[in-house]
Amino acid sequence: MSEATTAAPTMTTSSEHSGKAADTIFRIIAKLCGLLILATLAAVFIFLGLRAWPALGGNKQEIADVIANLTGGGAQTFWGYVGPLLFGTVLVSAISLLFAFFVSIGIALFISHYAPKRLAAILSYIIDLLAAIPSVVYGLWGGLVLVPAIVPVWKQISAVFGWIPIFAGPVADPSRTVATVGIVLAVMIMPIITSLSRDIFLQAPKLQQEAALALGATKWEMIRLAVLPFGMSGVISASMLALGRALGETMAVLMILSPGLSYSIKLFQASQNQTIAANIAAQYPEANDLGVAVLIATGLVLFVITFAVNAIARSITRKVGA
Amino acid sequence: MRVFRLLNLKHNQHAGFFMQMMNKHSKYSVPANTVANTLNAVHTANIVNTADTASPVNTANPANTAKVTSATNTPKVVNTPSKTVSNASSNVPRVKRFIAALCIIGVLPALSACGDNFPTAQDLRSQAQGAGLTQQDLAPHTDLSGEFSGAGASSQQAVMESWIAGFQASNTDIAIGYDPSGSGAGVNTFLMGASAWAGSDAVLSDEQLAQSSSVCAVGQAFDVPVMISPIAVIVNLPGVVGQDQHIVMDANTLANVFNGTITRWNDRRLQALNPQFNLPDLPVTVVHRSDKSGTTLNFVSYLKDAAAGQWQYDLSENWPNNVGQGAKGTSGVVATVQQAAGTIGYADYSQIGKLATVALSVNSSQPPVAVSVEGATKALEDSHIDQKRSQNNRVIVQVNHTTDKPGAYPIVLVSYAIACTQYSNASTTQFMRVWLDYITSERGQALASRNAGTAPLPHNLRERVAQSVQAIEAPAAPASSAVPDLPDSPNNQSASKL
Repeated sequence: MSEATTAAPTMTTSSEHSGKAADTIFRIIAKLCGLLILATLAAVFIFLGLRAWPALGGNKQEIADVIANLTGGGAQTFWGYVGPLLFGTVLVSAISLLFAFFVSIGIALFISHYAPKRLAAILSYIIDLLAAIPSVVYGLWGGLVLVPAIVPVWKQISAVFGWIPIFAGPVADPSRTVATVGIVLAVMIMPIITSLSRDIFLQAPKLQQEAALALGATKWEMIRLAVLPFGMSGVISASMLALGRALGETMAVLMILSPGLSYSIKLFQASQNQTIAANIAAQYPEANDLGVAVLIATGLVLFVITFAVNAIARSITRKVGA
Repeated sequence: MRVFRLLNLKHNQHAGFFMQMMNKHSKYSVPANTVANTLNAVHTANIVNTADTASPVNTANPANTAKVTSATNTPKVVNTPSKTVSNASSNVPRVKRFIAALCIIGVLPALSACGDNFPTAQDLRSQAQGAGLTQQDLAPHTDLSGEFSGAGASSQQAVMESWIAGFQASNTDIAIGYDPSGSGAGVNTFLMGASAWAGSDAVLSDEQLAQSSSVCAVGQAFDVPVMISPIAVIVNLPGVVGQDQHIVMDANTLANVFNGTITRWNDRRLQALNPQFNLPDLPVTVVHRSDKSGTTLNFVSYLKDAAAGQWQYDLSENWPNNVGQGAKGTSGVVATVQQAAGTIGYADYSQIGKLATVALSVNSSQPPVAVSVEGATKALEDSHIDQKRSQNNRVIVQVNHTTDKPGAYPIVLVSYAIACTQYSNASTTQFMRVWLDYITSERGQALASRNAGTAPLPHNLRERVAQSVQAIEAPAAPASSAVPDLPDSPNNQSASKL
């Protein structure tokens, strides 16, 4: 390219000038946008840190009193309070991701490889519509419809698999439990995974797919050989995005779950766990200043955990993509 | 969106079809060659046809014209039918823009009126009538004016709404607001001086009392009971339906159910108290409040007083154990109990709907007492005022949970109003005197009872409360303190003496 410029006369036209100016301006704007995001993230972190500081570094006795007040005596120290909350958050999110992940990949593969074009278009539209439903509506539906309706299903599973601790009975009736919340959250995060995975699977290299088929692979084998390895890193980052939504989900959990403060994995029993976000929403109206600081500190813990989960996801995708 | 793109595609392919349809119905004949002409013609025909009665073309075309012309919605205006087709394509956009601008300008004044919500005197009186208030419910008229607000317990929301309607109907220059943000939040707001009074299910603690001297002009704040509400113990059991069927329990059994000792409905202790039912073999699911609540505090204080052996937990607004499920708010508890058989919970009596309740067996010599408003009043008649905390006009009720007065229902929620004897602002002082006078008066309590299902303050308690309220300085007597008339209405004419 440099040869071309040295060979040509060195008279720059006005269009080239404006072209260069536009290029510089756009580069600056793009950089500013990137910096803006970093600045926002930093601002959130600083806000959380500053407002949470009285709860983390303040008078220990006052903090213990406030936490005992918030929990009715269930916890005395900050980590005694946030530990079960964190466990509950991770448990609920993990369950919902487990439900949603395989179903979403199935839907995405169906849309990209199995469905006729019309059906694929309609299905994509419906999945996008699911993503637009507000969390409150999901919470209402879960709380009013799903909770009484799903009891027979849980009772059946507990009858057969009750010897495994996570399925231990007695099944709570109405089922305002982690299992039910997991289902509702799974429905909420499924559109995210599905739409991103579908786009990724549609971009899988056609040549490799046809080569696999030409070599005698069945459709499933072709997908396993050519599509899934290609899309795996993208699917994992889609799942991490969905997991981020599940970790922070407030209204659905608040309206469905019967809260408790323990490290329990009994999915079918009520009053075992609570999530950080739902706890903040539930306790905030009645909390005094130090109580609000404690709640913001739990929010800070959630923020850090989400960060950590995303970092782990990035390292996985780097390994898989490499 | 893909659906619309599909439609678009369809339109271009079927433009000819629409042209034919259009030719049949419109006054204009359109050239058959270009799509653009077709679209313009259809569009103009649309405008013309809105001036006439609705035509089939309109129903067939709207989606296509809306999408294809990509202009703002065609306003409903009688455009000049004399516009020719050839001019339509250049003039229509400008005309539409002008009309759109006119519409926006025309709508702005209408929108700006949205902010100002102050009702007129006539509005207030008709609102009061619409709410079923009669002449006897209204407060006396005063010459005060201004805006005053209170905040606090959500349990007082319904009664506050009735009282505000009754007060504002005869005092149209006063605007009163009540924010049901919760007892704790309301007391905080009051202690910061941001509200004239606080509604609270719990009385002021000692620190809050000390803090109140910074917000009251003279001395400290005081609490008076303004609302009494029975707390019903609700059950959902097959075979126990309707308002006349009750599960009978005594205090010890109730405590055993709520502390997790009794786990099945056909437990012999429950069956012994209920020979009239064949109790099913269902697990007992306790439903309690997951949030801090005055209802919880009053309920567990009943259990602690009446069944001290079975209830060892400390008193608190948080539910003390992990038995059963927690639900948020009174409505959450009621909804959860309704959702499954075998549930039992506690909630404010006025909000339980059609759920069956527990009748308390207070005493073996008396029949079990079902929850009722009169029963709550009787229990309060038999209760004492806390003498240790009665200085400075405070009236703190110690509900007699072990009352054996016949017909008394001992599980009650007493809710207080917290106010100062004197405020730094004279009009606030005068307002609070008149306001508290009204809400604790016989007519105010009767209104609340009728509208919100609460129990009226019993006579002896009301007198004691009146003494405290009268410590607040009254406004100078106005020329006429009669209750103004409501406009003539069927309500007014059939008003009965309260």
